[in-house]
Amino acid sequence: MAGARPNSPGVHPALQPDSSEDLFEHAPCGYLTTLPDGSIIRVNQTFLTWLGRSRDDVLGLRFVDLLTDGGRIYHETHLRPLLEMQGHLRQIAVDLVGPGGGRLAVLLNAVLHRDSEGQPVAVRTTVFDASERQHYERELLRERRAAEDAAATARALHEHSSFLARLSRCLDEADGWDERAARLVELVGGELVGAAELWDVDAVGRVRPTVNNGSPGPGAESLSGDVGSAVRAAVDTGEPVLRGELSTPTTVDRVDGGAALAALPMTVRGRTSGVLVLWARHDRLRFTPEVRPFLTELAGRAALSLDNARLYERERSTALTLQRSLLAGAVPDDPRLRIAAAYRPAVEGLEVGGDWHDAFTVGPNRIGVVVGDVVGRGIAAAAAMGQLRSATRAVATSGVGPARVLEGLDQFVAHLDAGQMTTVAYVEIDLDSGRATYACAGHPPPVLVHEGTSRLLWDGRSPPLGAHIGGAPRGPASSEPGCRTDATVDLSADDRLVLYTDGLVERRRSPLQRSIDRLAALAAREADLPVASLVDALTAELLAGVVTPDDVCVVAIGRIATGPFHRRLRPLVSDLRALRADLQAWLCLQDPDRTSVDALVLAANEAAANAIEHGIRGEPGGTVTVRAERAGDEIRIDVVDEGTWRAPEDGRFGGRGLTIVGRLVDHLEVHRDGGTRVHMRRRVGGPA
Amino acid sequence: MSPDDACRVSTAERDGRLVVCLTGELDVAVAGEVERAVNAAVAAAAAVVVDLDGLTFLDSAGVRVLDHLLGACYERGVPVRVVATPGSPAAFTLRVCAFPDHVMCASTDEALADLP
Repeated sequence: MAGARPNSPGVHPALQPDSSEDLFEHAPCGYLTTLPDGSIIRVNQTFLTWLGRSRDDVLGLRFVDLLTDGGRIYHETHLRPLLEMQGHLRQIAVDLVGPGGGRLAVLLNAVLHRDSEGQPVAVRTTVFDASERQHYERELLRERRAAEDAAATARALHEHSSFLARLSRCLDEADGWDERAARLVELVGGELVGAAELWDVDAVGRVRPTVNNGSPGPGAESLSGDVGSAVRAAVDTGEPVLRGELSTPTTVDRVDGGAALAALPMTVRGRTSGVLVLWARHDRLRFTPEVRPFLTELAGRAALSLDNARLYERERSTALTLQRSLLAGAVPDDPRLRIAAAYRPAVEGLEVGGDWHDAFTVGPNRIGVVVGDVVGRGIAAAAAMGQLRSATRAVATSGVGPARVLEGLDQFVAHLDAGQMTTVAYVEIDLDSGRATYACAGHPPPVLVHEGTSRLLWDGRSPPLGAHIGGAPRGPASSEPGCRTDATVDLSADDRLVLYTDGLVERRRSPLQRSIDRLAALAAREADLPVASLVDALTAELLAGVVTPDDVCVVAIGRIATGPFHRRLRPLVSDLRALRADLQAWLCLQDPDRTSVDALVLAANEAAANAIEHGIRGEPGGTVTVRAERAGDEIRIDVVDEGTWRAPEDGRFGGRGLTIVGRLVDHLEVHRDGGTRVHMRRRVGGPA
Repeated sequence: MSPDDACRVSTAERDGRLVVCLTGELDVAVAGEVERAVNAAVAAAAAVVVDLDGLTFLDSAGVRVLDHLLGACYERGVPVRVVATPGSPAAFTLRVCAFPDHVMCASTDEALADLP
């Protein structure tokens, strides 16, 4: 529409040209002109408003009169000379006295005007409000401080977290609670703080110190002292307790800026099982409120590691107890057969395995001996072992013989749903004839020692229990006769039969056959030791320095006959017990009165103990031999050593032992010719 | 089949008296260890009964352990009795060694009644 033309655009008020007067008065900065002596001759409204003063009030004053005391000094000593020298000032921060006497922060730019002869005429100064900027600068300063603090905190955090990582690693590498607790106080007390001590909290909340790193010997302090009360408070509150001044002096350094003592509850799985007590040292960690989170984390990690160790030990000990209780059956008490066994659990820190051994009466004059190895570890393996052990006894006592016993066990593992691939060596020995019938299900061959030479019994072999290799699948269907075989061998009086599990011979980097051959050679060499000593010698020699991940079971079997008795002893008093067992069995076969058996065992023991202690002790190759024989109604025993006799400390000839021997036998002779021979005779009656 | 410890030391308190029971075989091989265990057990006792009926063997080194224990108890004025039932292995060795009769008792009950 033609009539609807818009009005001619007027000029926006903001774009109207300012009068220069208005611009001067209301500029966004203060403006003033001063004479060379500083007196103010011109000032704009903006500046007056900032100052909260009237123009009349200000004109005639000198510029320095507007400054704060500090600003005045700065002006006289610094700004004025600078201005005169260089003719201008840029961005100079000064404080003016603002409304009500408050501080007004401003920035100045000033120019000194000179006349044509160079004489100062006036100073023109613009003033900018710097309160915002100052605020910003303070903010900046605060930020920078915060950043520095954060960096320090981060550094501390980094140090703390790397310490925690190291602590965790160090603890987890250690086996068992004791070792971990020792490492904890050693590391924390030795590197982080001045000293550390671990207090135990029992199930009813009683506390007592257990482990410390030696310094400052705090364990001596009573429960009612500073430490005791801090520990109590830590247990009660579940929070770290920091204590400043201690009432009882300690050897700990005085620590400024932190507590002298920290008691940290070690809580895991909802239970406080201990309290870690830390003593400060001036050049190490300060116990300030800021380190509480770190201390809490430290105690938490230590608690978890120690608790894991405790749980692990408990389970291991349960499995071990279970296994021990299963192995602790009485050996058949028949003097015609000596059976000795050793069981060594896998190295500390590893789980209990499933090796077992057992000996039991199968029928009149017949004893069964079994060694087995269940695959697996821990409580499950120990439990399966227990069931197989019972099953072996149950099947064997029906008198079916070794091959049928293994078939029965095949059936058993098929139903058990455990124990598959168990290996077993089982032997039955006829006590009268000495005939041994044996069968091995995937098990290393038994070792037979006869007249100083040994051989491996490779016959009577078949696959492990429940195995699906080497024939028809093992299971209920395979129970018909013929699946398993056995073999026989005759044992004479001084023969030894050794059964074992593979832990005795399996070595990394050594062929199994070589290890087994070594065992066989060793058995031949040591066969004249008492039967229990033979077991000890085999395990000592073959496991020396060996960290085996496996259990080890060794059983040695020796027949005792009525003929002459002969045993060699090593220079170890521990061999005496093994000697007594063999000699007592032999004496029982002589069928004398009970008192004579007791007297002769004690007499031989004392003579042999003397020989070991005073004759050959400390001579690695030295041996003692014990011979016994029956001559009519007399039993004669000779104890011979080849050592150099050293007088016993009590100075008596032959020591107290021989005095006793004299009371136990009818006839005693001591011959010294190089070594020493003690000859004893006692007349024996019939059975008492 | 393979008892781990040849000789074990256990203690019990009866009528305010400490009863120390030894079981197994006490010989020269374990005498030192047993002596330490017994000494630790009786350190704070006011009256002691040592029960040897659980021993299947006792040698002269074991008798020395008992001898030392008796000596220590006498020094401290602590009454002590030794239980070894006649016919037991321990009684046999003690008789051979001429162990003092006046501290010997045939049973723990007798020993407890005999203590002042």
